[in-house]
Amino acid sequence: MTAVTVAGTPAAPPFATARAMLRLHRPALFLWTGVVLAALALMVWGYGWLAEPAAAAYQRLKACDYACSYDQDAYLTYKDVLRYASYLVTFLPLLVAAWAGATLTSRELESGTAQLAWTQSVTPTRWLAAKLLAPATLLTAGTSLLVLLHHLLWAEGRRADVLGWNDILIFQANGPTTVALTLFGLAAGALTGLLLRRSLAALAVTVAVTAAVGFGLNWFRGYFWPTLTVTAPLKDGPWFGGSVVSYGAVTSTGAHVPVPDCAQYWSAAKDCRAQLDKQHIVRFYSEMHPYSHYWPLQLTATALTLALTGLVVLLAFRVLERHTGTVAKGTAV
Amino acid sequence: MSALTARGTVARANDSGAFGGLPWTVLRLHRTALLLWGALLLAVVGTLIWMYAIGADARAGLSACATPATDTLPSCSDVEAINTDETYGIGIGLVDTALSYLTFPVAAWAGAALIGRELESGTAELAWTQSVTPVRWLTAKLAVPAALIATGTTLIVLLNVWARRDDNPDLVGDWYNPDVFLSTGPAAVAHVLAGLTLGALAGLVTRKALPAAGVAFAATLVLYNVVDWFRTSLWPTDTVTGRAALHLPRSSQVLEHGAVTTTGERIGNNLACVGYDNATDIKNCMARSGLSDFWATRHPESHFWPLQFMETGVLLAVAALSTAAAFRLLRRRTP
Amino acid sequence: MTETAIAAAALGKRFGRRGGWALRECTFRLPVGRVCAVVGPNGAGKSTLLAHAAALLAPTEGSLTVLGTHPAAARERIAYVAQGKPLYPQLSVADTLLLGRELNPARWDASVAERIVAAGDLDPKARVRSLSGGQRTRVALALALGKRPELLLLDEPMADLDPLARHELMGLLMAEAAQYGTTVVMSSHVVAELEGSCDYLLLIGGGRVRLAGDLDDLLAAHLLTTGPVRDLDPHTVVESRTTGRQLTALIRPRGPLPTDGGATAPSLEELLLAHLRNPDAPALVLDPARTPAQEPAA
Repeated sequence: MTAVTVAGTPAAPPFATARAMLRLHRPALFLWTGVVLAALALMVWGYGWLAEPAAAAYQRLKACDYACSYDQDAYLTYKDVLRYASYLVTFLPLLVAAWAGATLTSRELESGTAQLAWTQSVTPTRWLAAKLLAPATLLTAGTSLLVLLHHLLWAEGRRADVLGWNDILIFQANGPTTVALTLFGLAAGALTGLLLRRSLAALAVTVAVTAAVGFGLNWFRGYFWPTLTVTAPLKDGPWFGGSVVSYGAVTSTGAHVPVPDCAQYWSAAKDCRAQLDKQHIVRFYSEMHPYSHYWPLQLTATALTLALTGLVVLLAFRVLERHTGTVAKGTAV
Repeated sequence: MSALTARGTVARANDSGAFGGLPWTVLRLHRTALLLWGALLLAVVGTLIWMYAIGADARAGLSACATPATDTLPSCSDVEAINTDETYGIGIGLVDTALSYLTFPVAAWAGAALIGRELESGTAELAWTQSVTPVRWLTAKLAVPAALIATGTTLIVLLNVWARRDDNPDLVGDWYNPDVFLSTGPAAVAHVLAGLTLGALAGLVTRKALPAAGVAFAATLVLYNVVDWFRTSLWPTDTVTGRAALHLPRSSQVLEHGAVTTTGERIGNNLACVGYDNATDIKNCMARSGLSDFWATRHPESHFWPLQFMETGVLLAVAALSTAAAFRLLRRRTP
Repeated sequence: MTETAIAAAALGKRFGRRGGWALRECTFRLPVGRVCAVVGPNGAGKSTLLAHAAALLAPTEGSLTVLGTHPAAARERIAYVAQGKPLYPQLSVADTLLLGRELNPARWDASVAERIVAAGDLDPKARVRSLSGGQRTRVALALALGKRPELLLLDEPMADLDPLARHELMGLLMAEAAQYGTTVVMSSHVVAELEGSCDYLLLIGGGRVRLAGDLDDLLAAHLLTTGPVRDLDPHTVVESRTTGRQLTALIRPRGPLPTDGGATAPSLEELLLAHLRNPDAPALVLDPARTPAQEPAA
């Protein structure tokens, strides 16, 4: 309650509302700090102590044609740490969404403490702005740090060839899309809270919506940048390097047709060759993204998510204004 | 008013009925959850019946073929035209995944909605000052969902086993794949029950809906990963030596390959010569690498049931312990 | 006068191992059939005491019997309305009453509950979530009275009601209590709410019993005296105030009074305020079962 009183002091500087906000959500702040520190510790350990031995072990294994002992423990520990770090970073937006949906606006509307704040000379608009800004700052800082370190952890161990840049979790955890998705979870939590006004219901809906957006981003991620077309001769089979969006076969007339099942991996086999010839297939093509497309893909996904987040924030302010009847005064997005 | 009077004055249809009193109350209070559970069950049962129906077709999609068709083999283009195998694989895979992760939402629900919210808002005390003791209240709160969840999960597991028909690993995955393992035996039921009781305990400890959801989720996550980590250690493995260790059947879950050098040194975690199956190749490989013998540790498919029972036992013990802790906590708080 | 609704013997409750005492050394006896007001400042321990009687809390020390037995054994015979009027928000009014019937199979009287709800013009299909404070209180009371309790425990029942609703619900409550001879224990800090409806008083301050007994007996045991400043021995002085050369004091008389001043019977409000303002005044517990008033040393 004291937090709200601070917010209500008439001469309160703009950041006072944010300060009040932080005090109100102190357990969440501690939890967030704890999660970030734990993830940082895990990844620093992996980066500083595990990546190099793992890469060395893998290189040794490759060099001696598998018939030698190598430090398998080093390799597996690094792999596990990388995996856990990827899970942690990738699912962070869902954790934030759950928190935001359950507590940010829904619980205050449910229990009436929002109205309490609004009667302490904080306009509803400023109230919501503070509710979004303070956590957004902390979330951006924390998530950026984690994503950056995750990228370092992964890059340091690239020679261990554990997971490629195009692996679903690695792609997600390596770039700013995760930061943007975290902010989306926050905004979605505020909006569903305003619409549903019930803590547990808002939690479930926010997590579902954020998961759907994350899933959608991953599903369509290949289309966020023009692909390169790579062709492959019949004896090699279709090209599967990089991140392949679609692939197929090219006939003598230049038409694109689906690859016959027999040619997916064993196009050199004799009976398969016969079938390819019958269909007049002369080579394969793959629409793919090389590693050089990584940043354009990431940034497009990030921009899209941020645009979506902005839309949700705008909607949240509109809902709040319609509900309380306050006049819009330059809502900060 | 008439509605109220009508409902209120109707004598209870069956005073000793199992669905009167407390169980009725639990079902009525958690109607949304009950409807969701029902809808999920219907969807899964529908999917599995559909999968069973297309099962034969899906197997035809994997059949060996020849171009052109022979007397015993169908033509390859005919076989390729069948896409049912993909649908079948996806359908079964979805059910497997849903069943493996069911414990998480159940735990969060039990912590938040079943127990935590009631203690937070004081409605638990409302119930305790009717003619219901706290112990009976918790018993009903645990028994009714546990019965529904156990029945539903068992049904899904049985239907899943039925819809998988001959368990062709190319279609439905290997038995030791975690999702498959967790959706084809009693461990599936035990996982969900452990989630339910851990959630209830979290609700009683935190006495608040949201922290309970968080704690329940975290506890179940830890349990899931610990069990996943120790799954293969719950039953002694078989050791195969010699050439047989180099090409174990796919139905064996291989845990470690190793080789013995001509100098007698044992090298663990080593894939040397694995995959060669004719004697000359193996001999050449052995000579090239300076090896004299091989071994592999594995769980053959016959270990499926011992592993299932061990995991089920461990999880039921966790469920029993958390239930006991929950009752102890409740008894200590109330007279 | 012989049957006891609540009897507390050195009852004490501490929350947590290091927490302060919410109740300490509470000893009193409430006879059956009375309407008892539990009065005290906020945080005095009123809610804690009621929760013990409702078998929701276990005492840290001492003991409490309710209707002649352990509170938990009397669960069926008591009803309790907590301060926040907790109800299931997702249920309708009609479903809430159904819940009462299902949870009290042995004693539910649907007609009583329905009458109370009907008197408030509540739509039985309305969700509890959508009700106003007064309507919630009405439903909570219906749930409590539908159980036909022998002992009704109400924690600040009228706190968030407007005067009109307060008056009406209080009347309803008293009528039901009178009809069935229910013992009512009601905590409050609004004196006006108690006057005229309660005949027994329990004043709690700092977790201890300050006054307990029949309301009339308690009032009769005190006198408000005015007169010149002087030593008031041998009377027990609850409160004394000097204005100029005049001394106004609330005393428990012990022997003849001085003749040069006025002495009037205090009002309930004067009695309560004097005790609340002077937390160090000695406690007075009048037990109707034992005739001589027992005044333990402070």
